[in-house]
Amino acid sequence: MDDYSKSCLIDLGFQWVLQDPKAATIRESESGNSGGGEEERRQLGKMIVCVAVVGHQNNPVFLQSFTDSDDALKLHHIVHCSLDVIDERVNNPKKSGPTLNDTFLGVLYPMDDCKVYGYLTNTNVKFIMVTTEIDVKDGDLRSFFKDLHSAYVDAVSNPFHIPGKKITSKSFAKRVSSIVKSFRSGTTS
Amino acid sequence: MAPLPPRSGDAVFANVEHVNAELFSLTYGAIVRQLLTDLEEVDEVNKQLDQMGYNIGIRLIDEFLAKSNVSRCADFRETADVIAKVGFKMFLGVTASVANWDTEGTSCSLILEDNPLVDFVELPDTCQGLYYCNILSGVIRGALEMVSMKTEVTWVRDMLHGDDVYELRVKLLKQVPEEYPYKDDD
Repeated sequence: MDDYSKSCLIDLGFQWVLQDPKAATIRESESGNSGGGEEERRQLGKMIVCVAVVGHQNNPVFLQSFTDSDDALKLHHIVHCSLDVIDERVNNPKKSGPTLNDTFLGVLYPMDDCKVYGYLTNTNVKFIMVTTEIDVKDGDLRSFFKDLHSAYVDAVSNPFHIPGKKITSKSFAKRVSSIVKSFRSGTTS
Repeated sequence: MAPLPPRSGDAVFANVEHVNAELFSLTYGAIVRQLLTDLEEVDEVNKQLDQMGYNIGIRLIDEFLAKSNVSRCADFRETADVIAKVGFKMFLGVTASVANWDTEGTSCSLILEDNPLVDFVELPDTCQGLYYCNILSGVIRGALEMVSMKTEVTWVRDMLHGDDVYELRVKLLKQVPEEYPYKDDD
């Protein structure tokens, strides 16, 4: 992607297009880092691009991207903007809004190529997932977020985890990767 | 009287009061965290956990002997078996296995595959020397001391440090015969 395109993208804010005509190299990586640049499967089109966990004060707690490191900044950007959407939804509940405790927020912001999904726990911790998947079943999404939620709960039960700080647990990152992989293999067939 | 084989701890476990495992793990985690904040040195924390375990052990042994009805152990081998099968089961809900006996029969390993103390725990890089479950070594040492055995208990393998199981090495230093405080009347 050349510089001109990049600056256009940043100007447009949300418009973020994943076009990767490069060959899909499938390299598995076991460890996770927050902030990304991990080599994961790169298949054209359908994949989860990133998963983020944001604390109740809108502080980032965990962010893992499953694509090129180039796009990490854009992902941060997208996640930030989706927080605004969540706040909007929380403060102005629609009449037909869900009354479940763990609110699955659904599609937060549909963009050109990808969708952003959100999930809010009752401690105001937000899980955000960006995917280029066109057609995702609701049930798959809910179970994805449920698995993510349990992994999160186990990670914060670690006595050495400081609430509010970033999750540094490697096993949490591994679990997130495996949840993402099973989601991918479950829906992309 | 021929010694009875150590009964499985399941029967005893079923009769004692139970506590929620998560509450137990979280409480223990909070204790370790607080010790780390107060003492700051990992070695100090290890020592303190051992001392706390010792204080628990000297009291725990009475409850153990009262509730579990085990007969007097003939030798150290039986003692180790009883600790692993009945003791651990009764108090932690998991059984340990005994292995790696040395030639004299005074030193053995207790192997734990599952340990409720360490659920959810991951050691941060700053605390790599910490023996998180050191309280267990203190408990065993204290309990055995009350039945006249001086022992030394050390950790050989620790899952939080990357090993596959928890292994405690229990070494019998000496058997102290019971002393009466009064001299015999001549």
